[in-house]
Amino acid sequence: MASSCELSKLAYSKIILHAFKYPHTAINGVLLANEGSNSQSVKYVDAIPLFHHNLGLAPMLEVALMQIDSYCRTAGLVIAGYYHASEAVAEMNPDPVSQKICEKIAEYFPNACLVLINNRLLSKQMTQTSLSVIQYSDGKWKVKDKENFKILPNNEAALNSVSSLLSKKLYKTFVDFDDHLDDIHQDWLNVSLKSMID
Amino acid sequence: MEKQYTHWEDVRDLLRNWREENCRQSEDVVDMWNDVLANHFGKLGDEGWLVLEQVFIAALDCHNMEVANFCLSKLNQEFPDSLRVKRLKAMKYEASEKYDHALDILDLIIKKDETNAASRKRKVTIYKSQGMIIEAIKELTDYLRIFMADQEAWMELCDLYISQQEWNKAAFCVEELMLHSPFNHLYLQRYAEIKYTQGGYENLEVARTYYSQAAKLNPKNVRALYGLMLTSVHMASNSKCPSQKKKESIKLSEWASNQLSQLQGSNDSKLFSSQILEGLGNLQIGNDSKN
Repeated sequence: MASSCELSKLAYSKIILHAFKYPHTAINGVLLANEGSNSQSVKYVDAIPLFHHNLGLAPMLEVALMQIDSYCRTAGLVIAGYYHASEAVAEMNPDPVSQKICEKIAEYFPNACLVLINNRLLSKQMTQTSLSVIQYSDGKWKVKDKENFKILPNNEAALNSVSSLLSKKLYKTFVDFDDHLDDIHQDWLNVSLKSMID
Repeated sequence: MEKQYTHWEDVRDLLRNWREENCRQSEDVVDMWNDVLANHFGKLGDEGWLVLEQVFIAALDCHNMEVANFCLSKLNQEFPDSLRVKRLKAMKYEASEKYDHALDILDLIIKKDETNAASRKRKVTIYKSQGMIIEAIKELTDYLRIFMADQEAWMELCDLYISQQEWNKAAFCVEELMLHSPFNHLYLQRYAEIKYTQGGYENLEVARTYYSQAAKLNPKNVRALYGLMLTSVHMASNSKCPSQKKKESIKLSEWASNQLSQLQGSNDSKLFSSQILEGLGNLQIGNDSKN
């Protein structure tokens, strides 16, 4: 019984914009789903970008997760997944830090997905989703087949939408949690970007 | 880049700034070169060569090989026997993932000039690009035995150790940095972060101490303030903490929370400190238990 996993256009766009803002470092972030989501078929409605420096250090990760958790409670969402792009262009395996964080998320949301960006497939004109997904269930990591993973409304529309965002260089004003820690007035929710994506 | 730079002198000054501050704004550098500066290259004089090197590296970063090749050929024409230009050639091979060619050139440079620090560091990045972190660490530690005062290298080694979860070795690197610059709040904050991640009550205490010092040196360091709140609250709720330290921790946590409120211009972080108290134990991701 294969469980399905869907990513909204908003969540997908944020992941790609994050990767484009910091192409030279590893990046990570969490994926949010609606509260009460069925972990058998989960739809990720939003993504919150976390860091681009020292992803392995715990204190700011804990601070970020607490703040995101608090936001989620007001917005009727839950932290249900995690995304990561490696620093090295060819690296396609999740590193120990990503696994640890995702296992922690899976304690609260079973079958949490770890979305990995395939760096080689990224381009300003996106032709492939460039994502691969592994899922943590029953204490093991399993790779998700492409047919059980979709971007909404459909892959082509999402790719066109993201390519258009990239051509407008919207990644320059994209804010992750590290940016917020550097300048506390920057909005890690990227509310102003949301209206441009929808 | 909000301001549109059209005057070549403004672009020249901006690039000079970025060179001095070692900023990585590769896309903007290449765009400004293409749009403005390329047509005024002759007016740059000797600075032109520095600009060409800067644009070359930025072009490699953006994988714009046309611009990179143009810059390299001009530099090669002017400085045919230069080791510095040879290193740029090695970088071009590195950008094309021809790592063996790149390593050959770098080894030749090092043989000719053993004091060439930049070439040795490029070898480290070649290993890092291929995901060969252990080899990168070995190369970098060999480098640091010779060039012990290179702070950038110590920081890079710290990052490599963090990626391998070797907390003691990462902490050692930051200790070296703190010896060089004891008043650099960023080093103190980094040390606190590593200690916190290591886990255990004693490390928590050390982390709090270093976060306090960082926040004292720069009360606007948001990470230090959050870290101070986090460590103080953890300590205050820990059974190993004597009551004197508990009171101290609570005061520190309140101070940090006030500082954050002031910086933010809102009361959100007061809310946050009560969230931490609530969330304690739920979201700990550090290695050992905090008890």
